[in-house]
Amino acid sequence: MSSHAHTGDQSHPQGHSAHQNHGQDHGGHGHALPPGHFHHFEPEQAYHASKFGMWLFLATEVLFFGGLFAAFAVFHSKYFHLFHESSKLLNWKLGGVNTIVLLVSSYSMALGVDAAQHGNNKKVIKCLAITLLCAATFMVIKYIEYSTKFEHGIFPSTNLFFALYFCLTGLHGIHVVIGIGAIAWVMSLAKKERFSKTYYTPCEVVGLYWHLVDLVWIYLFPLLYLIG
Amino acid sequence: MSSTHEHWTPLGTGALTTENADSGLGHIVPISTYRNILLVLLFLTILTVGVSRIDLGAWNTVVAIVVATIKALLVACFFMHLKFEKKLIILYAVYPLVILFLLIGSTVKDESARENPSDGTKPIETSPATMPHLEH
Repeated sequence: MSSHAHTGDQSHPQGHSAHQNHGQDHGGHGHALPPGHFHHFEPEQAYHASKFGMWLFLATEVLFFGGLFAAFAVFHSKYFHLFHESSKLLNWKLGGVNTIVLLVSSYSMALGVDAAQHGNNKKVIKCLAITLLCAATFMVIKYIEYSTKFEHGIFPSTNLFFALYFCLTGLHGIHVVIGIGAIAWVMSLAKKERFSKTYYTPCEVVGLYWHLVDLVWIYLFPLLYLIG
Repeated sequence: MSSTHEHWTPLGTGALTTENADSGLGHIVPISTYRNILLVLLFLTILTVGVSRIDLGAWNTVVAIVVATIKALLVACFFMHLKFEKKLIILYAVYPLVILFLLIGSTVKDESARENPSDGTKPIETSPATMPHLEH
């Protein structure tokens, strides 16, 4: 196998040298960069490009949830009474506790990003541990809510309101679970002392994602639990 | 080579020179600001729950959405640093909201203009009487 590759190399000596010349003429060709050649760009450019990329992703996330929000708006205006009565079956106290839990998690995430901006890796771990704890608490409360609904015979098929309730909170819950994984990854980077005053992109970008998860819940809580 | 650089520089202009004198990267917000924002967010959460207990009719929906939007703006501007971002990022944060507004607005307008909403589809259960009842 290796000998075959060797002869293959020798059979095109001209092509190989031509490629080298090409490389010298246009060193740092944008589209031909091998993986790991991020240093061809300025670190500041890399940081701003990464952050811009995350904001683009968040734009798609807003529209991803937006379809379900549009469905909610339409059916809420059409079947106002049904939505109002169904909404009363949700436990607004648990929803409210989950709102506070997510707001605190966003606060500790903001502090974690601030710590990363100062290159304080130990504080990043502490802050993100609180965020992680809040995220886990959120999922436990969500589990209690779901299982209570199922026990009382309420399923997505019960009516339009609960179909949208399970879709919206389920999709949001998936985002929380993905967020837990992303936060754990950032914590592992902080444990390796990766963040400094000049490099904290992963922490900030995951922070942006986590704040969006909080933002979606800020709308879900009053729409589903309070006004119906 | 040079075209690659020219392609990227618009992303870096502005913020690099004016707003981030300390590191050239993101804006650093004082920690006390985050704490104050959290306190306002918690207050608004209690407010929105309190208002929902009072029956204001259709105004309940309006108040809930307005309060949620204020909370969302606080999270976006301070926790997500949007207040300190370049115009390009603000543009890409706003444009999905414009599309969302068109989507929701035009769909609701379209539906409300139709006389028979469930025409041609399976009848949808609208009576709460058939729903399971449970006590809190």
